[in-house]
Amino acid sequence: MIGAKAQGEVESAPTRGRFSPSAWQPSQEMVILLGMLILLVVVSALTTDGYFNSGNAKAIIRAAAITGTVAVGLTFVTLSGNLLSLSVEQTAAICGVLLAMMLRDGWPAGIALLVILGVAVVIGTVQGGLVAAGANPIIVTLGAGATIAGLTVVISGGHGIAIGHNSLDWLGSSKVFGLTMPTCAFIAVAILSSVFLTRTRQGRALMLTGSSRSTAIASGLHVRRIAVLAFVLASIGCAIVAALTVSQFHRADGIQFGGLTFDALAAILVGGTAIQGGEGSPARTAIGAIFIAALSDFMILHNYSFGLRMTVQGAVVLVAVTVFHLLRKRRRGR
Amino acid sequence: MSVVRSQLKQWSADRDSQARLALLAVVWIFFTILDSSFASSDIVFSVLQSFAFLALITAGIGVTMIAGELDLSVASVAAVAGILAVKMAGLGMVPAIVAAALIAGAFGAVQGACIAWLRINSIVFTIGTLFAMRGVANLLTNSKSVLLPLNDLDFSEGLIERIWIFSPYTFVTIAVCLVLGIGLAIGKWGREIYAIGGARPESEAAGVAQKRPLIVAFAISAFTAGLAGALSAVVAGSGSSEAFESVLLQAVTAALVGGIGLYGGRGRMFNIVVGCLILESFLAGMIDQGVSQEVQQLATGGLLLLVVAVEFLTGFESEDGERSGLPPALRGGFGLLDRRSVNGPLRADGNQEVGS
Repeated sequence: MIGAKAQGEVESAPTRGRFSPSAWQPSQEMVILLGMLILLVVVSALTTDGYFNSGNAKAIIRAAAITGTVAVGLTFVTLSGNLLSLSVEQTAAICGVLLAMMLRDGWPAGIALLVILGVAVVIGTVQGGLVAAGANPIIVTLGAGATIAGLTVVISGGHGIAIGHNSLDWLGSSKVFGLTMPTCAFIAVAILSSVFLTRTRQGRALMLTGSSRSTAIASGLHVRRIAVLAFVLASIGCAIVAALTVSQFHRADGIQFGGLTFDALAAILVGGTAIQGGEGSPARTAIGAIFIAALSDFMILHNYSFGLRMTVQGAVVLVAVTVFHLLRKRRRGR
Repeated sequence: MSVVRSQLKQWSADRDSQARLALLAVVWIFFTILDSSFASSDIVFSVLQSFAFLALITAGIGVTMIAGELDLSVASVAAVAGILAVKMAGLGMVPAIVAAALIAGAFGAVQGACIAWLRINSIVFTIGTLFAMRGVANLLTNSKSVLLPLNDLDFSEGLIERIWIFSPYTFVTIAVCLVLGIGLAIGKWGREIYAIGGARPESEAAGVAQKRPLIVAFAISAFTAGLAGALSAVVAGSGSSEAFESVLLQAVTAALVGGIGLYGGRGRMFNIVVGCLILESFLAGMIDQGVSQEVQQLATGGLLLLVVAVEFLTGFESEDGERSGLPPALRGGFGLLDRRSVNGPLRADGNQEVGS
């Protein structure tokens, strides 16, 4: 009986493609997402005294900035049809440890930043290359994550690396329009990523590859090169976050970014990016990161325990992927 | 009986199994050359102890991989089941362990039903449950450890009491793997799981039930994860919300070393068990050589990448060189293979026809 029903569902033909070049038009997902965010802020404001004092909004954005920067970079992997990466926190950790060691040894800040950028590009290229060759991204990044984490401990000797004042202090302490550097970087990365995706040839090629791999191949796009590009961009996001964190806290260790991978994935999924690729936007991921930060701010203000906060966040991810999945199915079914 | 005999005959003629057993022998010979005291019954016993946990988890995750899906939530489910078993110790130890495993199995069935009914990608769904279940583990314990009452520790010790190179724990694992292996090979549900994993559109066209095998696969993976978590928590005498966080890497590595196909529909329980033995022997050998935990992790990750590379070098690409047969979950689950969602009709090999 179940089988017969499933057979019946296979009939109808698709009516429209999933690829839409103008990400600036608010999508259904974006409307829902913004609506939920506003609802959350209203509920928080009504139930919390002094919610709108200036510190709180900044705290939310600051919390969203680290996760958001990584998540926006990781969005390229998902959008290009390569599912996701499970190695971002390890990539950020190795970049952070290397940067701290170089600064400790008195390297010029510019060179140190270039070196970790190079390391991130190599990590992204290796993973992207394996995925481009046809390997499963989940398994490649799971293996790569363990390898990188092991390397990080070997390099750092398993100790945290504390550094004093150094040539990168300006990055951790300076402010632009009253916003801290991580916040500025988050906003800049989100805007640049949106522009890249919608306004450049490479960006559109990346979207098309995720939307329909076979069409992309037929159009003569280098889908393998695009997979490598997506993983490199994700790794660069990790390097940026590593530099910001190390310059701010003056220390680095192998477990500094624990939980970052799943927070970033949660932001992407709550932002409604389709795991199949080709649908979603960095802007939606950024709003997703802010939504999760606002939610956790609300729960902390209301003294929810750690376990409850984690459960709620997991449940929100489940509800979000289900709702967005059904939405897409309905849209396509028409 | 004749079915069993034909299966046994198949096994003995199986090149895959022979190659894996040879690899297992190579690992043991290699580490025995490095340290002549390595090949002792003590080491075998301790390998089998850690094998008992890993094989249960890997058997479950392997079943979902054969079905062309992937259950990422096993580690969190194992942690929750471990906590539940310790908390229910008042029922008596055996009922507590069985109840914890059954609760986990029921959760898995619901998870499988959601994935099948929504036709959603199992990876995204189980990322959500991975996170939520870790949260539940924290909720149940208030982020601390829960301890087994002192007078139940006799049972814990009995569970790992040495019987030659085995223990009751390893017997449980071997029994579960045996039942699952026979079921997969000759049971109707087993054949359905291979069918939806190997060729989902074709199996659907042929009238194979699409939802039931998914529910069964995810129920099995959560049940075995729950059983492993409960047994290990009882052995350790405590349940912790942080437990088993690294087991996903080991289980996926062991499953791939054991020849579970990256594309679904391929792999057998016997080889999964050998894969777990290879990985555990490899880890034990490194411990014997005094290799640090981080380097072990590095080596496990490297081994995983190596297996992936070998899998591709030995040629599982289709003629046009493009990946065509990625399992449904890994190419976007039902979403992509659902004929309504693709932009053109599916060719027989599962590739999407271009631009119709």
